[in-house]
Amino acid sequence: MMSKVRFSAVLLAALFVFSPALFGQESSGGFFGARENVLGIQFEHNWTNSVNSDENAVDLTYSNHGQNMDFDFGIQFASKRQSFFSYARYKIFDGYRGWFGPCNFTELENFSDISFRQHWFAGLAGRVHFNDVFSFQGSSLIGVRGSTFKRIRGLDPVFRKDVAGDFSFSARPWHYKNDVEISAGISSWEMFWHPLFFAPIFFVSASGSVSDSVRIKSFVGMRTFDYFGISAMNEGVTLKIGAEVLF
Amino acid sequence: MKKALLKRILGKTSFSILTLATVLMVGFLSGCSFGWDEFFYRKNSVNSRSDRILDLDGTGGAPQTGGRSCYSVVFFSDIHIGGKENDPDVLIDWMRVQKPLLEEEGFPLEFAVCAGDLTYSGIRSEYKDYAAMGERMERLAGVRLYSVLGNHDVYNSGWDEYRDLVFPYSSYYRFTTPSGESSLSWYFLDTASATLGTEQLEDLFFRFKHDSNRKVVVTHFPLLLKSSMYYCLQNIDERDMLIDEFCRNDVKIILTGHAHIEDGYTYGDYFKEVNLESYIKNYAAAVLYVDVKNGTFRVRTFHL
Repeated sequence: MMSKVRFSAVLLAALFVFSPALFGQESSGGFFGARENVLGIQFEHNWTNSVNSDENAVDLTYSNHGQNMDFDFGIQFASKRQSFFSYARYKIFDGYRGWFGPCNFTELENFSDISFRQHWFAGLAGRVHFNDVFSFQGSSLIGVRGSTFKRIRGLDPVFRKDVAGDFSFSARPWHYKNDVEISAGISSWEMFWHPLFFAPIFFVSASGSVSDSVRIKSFVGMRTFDYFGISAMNEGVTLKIGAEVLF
Repeated sequence: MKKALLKRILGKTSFSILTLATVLMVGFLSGCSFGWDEFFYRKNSVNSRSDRILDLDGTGGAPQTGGRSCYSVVFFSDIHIGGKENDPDVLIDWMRVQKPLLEEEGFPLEFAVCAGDLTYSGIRSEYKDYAAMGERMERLAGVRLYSVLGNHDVYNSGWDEYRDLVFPYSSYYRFTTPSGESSLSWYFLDTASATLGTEQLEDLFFRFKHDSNRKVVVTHFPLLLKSSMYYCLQNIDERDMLIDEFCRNDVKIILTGHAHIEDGYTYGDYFKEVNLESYIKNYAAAVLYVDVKNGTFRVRTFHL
């Protein structure tokens, strides 16, 4: 019975199709015929009640939007970590109403001089356009994340199964004028193998073109609760602002 | 029979989804006593609860171990006063029986520790019953009770009641059990919100830096368990920092609860984590045998 429940939880998680906001890559072009290559820079600040409090970060990203594959990778320099991440989406179905296919995410993270972390995730991603204005996108990923403790001799690496995913609704009310897009949704990086648990970030993001090849982006996220709203784990606010060059 | 029929009618996938929906609904409804009005905001965040450690040494609040290097401590967790199947008098009676036996073994019983979830829903009547249990324990078994805050204890803004009723009226405190040059420091941390928060974390590392004693740490949330990550501290940045600091600052053992199962983790040659079965339903309690001089800590679990 429990395996069925777990399977159902994973199935539901699979419905949380992708919002790349999870990885700081929210709708970086591609969907409405934008350019193939995107270079981005993003500044991030976190206010939380946990160890990442008042953390600043800079993300440098490159995205390539091909016919059948989108590929993003980036480097993050944060006050408490440095990381390299890559994210790829493979469009096995790409129709005029959207696309659907597998995706994978990897990250190598150097956390101060304490631990070195690895994340390997694979899952499904997709996007559906209801019309020219509204769309839904999301992803679900299942994988492993691990910590290797650099300063502690003899302590084995710690690995755990993990589930990540999120979904968002996007609106492009001024699509034909200045390419503005507003999206809102929920992302979660730690859903685990439990139907009652996830630690979501509610977010609103907006992007808009300032010229033919430059676009600005903003993101506001609120981390609020875990354990079904009962106990706050990582309350806080994340702000991001960045710019992309399309070519 | 009915279940099999339902399964056949609905099909396997629909049955699984229906099961999940039922579990979610039951979870939602059973959570109603936990203060759903505080779903998005809860006053008394961990930073406001535990910004600075309360040092019980010299206040009369620390246990008087008489300089002994060998003693014992009763350890239990998740008693959930207000829930079902958790008669606290069973524990007190058992302690009264254990006390002379431990004295004979050369490990006199000095105090008791509860690793959180003292109450079921954090309301005042439950806290009053818990405080009354602590008083009876001291009066009948001669043992003072030290507690940490659990996630159930902050439901319905239960922190106000904890601060008012549960000794030592702080969720972040420490004391020392002196034994010549081999003193032992006991740290009780506030992990009720599944994080220590920035203030407590910074203060803890500062205290560790100026404390060369061996250490015992008591928290509600485990750092790591062999069986499940779900019940552990979820912020892996924080978890990694704690493991690192514990290893480098002579922490020898960490006592935890929350998971309701017997579990734990061994951190190389540095320290051990012991997660005890819940008192509620399992009636589990343990004796921690402390030998400060030799730096050994042995746990023996009982089902009362």
